[in-house]
Amino acid sequence: MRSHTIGLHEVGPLGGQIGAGGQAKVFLAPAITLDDVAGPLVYKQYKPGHEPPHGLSAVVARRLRMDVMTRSRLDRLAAWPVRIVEQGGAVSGVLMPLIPSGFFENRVLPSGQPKRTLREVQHLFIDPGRAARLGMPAPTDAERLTVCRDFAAALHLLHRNELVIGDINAKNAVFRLDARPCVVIVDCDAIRIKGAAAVVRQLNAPDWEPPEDTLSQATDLYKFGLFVLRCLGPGPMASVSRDPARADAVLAPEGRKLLRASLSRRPADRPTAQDWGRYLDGLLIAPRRQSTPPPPPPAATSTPGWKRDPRTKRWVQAT
Amino acid sequence: MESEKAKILPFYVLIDVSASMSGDKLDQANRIMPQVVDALAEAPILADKVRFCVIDFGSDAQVRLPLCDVLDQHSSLPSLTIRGATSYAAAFRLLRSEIEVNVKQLKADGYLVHRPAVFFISDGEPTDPEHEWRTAFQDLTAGFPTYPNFVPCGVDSANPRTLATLIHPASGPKQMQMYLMEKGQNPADAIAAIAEILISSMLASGQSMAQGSSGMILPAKQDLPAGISAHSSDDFV
Repeated sequence: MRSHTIGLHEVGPLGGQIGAGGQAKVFLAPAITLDDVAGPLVYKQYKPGHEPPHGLSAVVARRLRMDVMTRSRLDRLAAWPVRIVEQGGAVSGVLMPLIPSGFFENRVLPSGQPKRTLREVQHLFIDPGRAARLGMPAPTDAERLTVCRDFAAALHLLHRNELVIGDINAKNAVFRLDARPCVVIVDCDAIRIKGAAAVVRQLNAPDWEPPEDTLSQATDLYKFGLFVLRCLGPGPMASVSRDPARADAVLAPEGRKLLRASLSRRPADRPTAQDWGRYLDGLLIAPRRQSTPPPPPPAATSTPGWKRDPRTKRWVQAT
Repeated sequence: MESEKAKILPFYVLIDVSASMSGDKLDQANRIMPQVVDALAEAPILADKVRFCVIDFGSDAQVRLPLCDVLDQHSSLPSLTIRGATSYAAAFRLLRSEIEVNVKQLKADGYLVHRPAVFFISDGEPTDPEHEWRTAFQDLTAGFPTYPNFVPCGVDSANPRTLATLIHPASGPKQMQMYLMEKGQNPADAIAAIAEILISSMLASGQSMAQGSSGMILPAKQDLPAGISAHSSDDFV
């Protein structure tokens, strides 16, 4: 049986820093490979005082106990913590798979500066014309339905495995449009195993608060309803909207009913991720038969490293 | 599905364009607006939360970018130019009247409005009589229901003691801070660093805005860029 914990020395020399948040910094970890992880790894180093208490090991162990098929599905749908990293007997961080380059957009910012941006789902919520003007993709209705469908599939896999995402929000999932699955859930160390306490206290992002106080699979389903509504009804104030009528134009009567039920104050009313998956599959299958076959998967590309310039704090490509 | 009113944070930047600001300092000040636009382009749902306004002040004060959703702005951003002396009084008076009009407008448009946030950037002492700018500041902060959270930022020859009296609220759970260029730093670099603080405050405030929160978040001291220090009002007596 594999150990779910490794020492920092086993990670080896770190590569460039590719991200920073309030609680952690993320570095490339080019020197380590793992049998059970297909691609490159990153090391997420918690800032002092932000190390999650024990419980993270259960989330890591849950993945290692999965059969190979389920684990490889999970790895395609979520940037899951794959090993806990310890230094001097204390948790210093986690290893996670590197988010594939297909989930990044090479764009030009309004000032003219080129930038490589992670395609967080927040970019789906703004007016498509504005997104295009800002150098981001402006998906069609069919592409948006596909994104919702793959998000539903990811949620279903997690729920079927007794997991609770908790903090679904505008930045915790990323999307691509040229390959399936097109959604990956990121920031998974806030995930909780059903029936156990959370690793990191589970929180609601502003504008994603469910009606009830305690986070559960039912609140995941409410928040997924908000995601569907905001993804299918993009535009001004979509990111804060809770009005299901916003997505009426895209959803057939059955979908409108599902969306209204998802946003019900009564947890028992909310459709499961599987219900959503079946409905969206039904919508998508018909048009896809007439369309051209999907393009072959893009050739594997190496993901260039990005780091913050310590002076300007801008992202620059590590060479 | 109850409809909620959307909440907007009006964010004002006041920039000194007196004669002493010419050169590199003004160049950096002119980079603030494009940087704000870029930051919002990377976090575009914040355009549902934050409105941005730029006022410059020299001998007088002028609204250079009226309060707006900057991602919606097709026209080019204004370019700041030097205009004489340093009238704090003119800046405070114009800010007060803008806030009054803007908040009224936002409310009429159906939004809830958070307490406005102000970054005030100056490189020198006010040139107008003290009682005049003090009265104008008093009118902006006391007895004005929509008084702003006021964050003074000083570079070069700005007087820390003067600026410290502009921190508002100066005490209490929602007290603001002052940012100062550390001695020996390049003033233009300090303006760039202040722009960074301003943007991180705008992003954090917009992201955290929810019912009941103050709507104005400043970065933690350990996250400040090099060459800038944060102070509260009692640091200078």
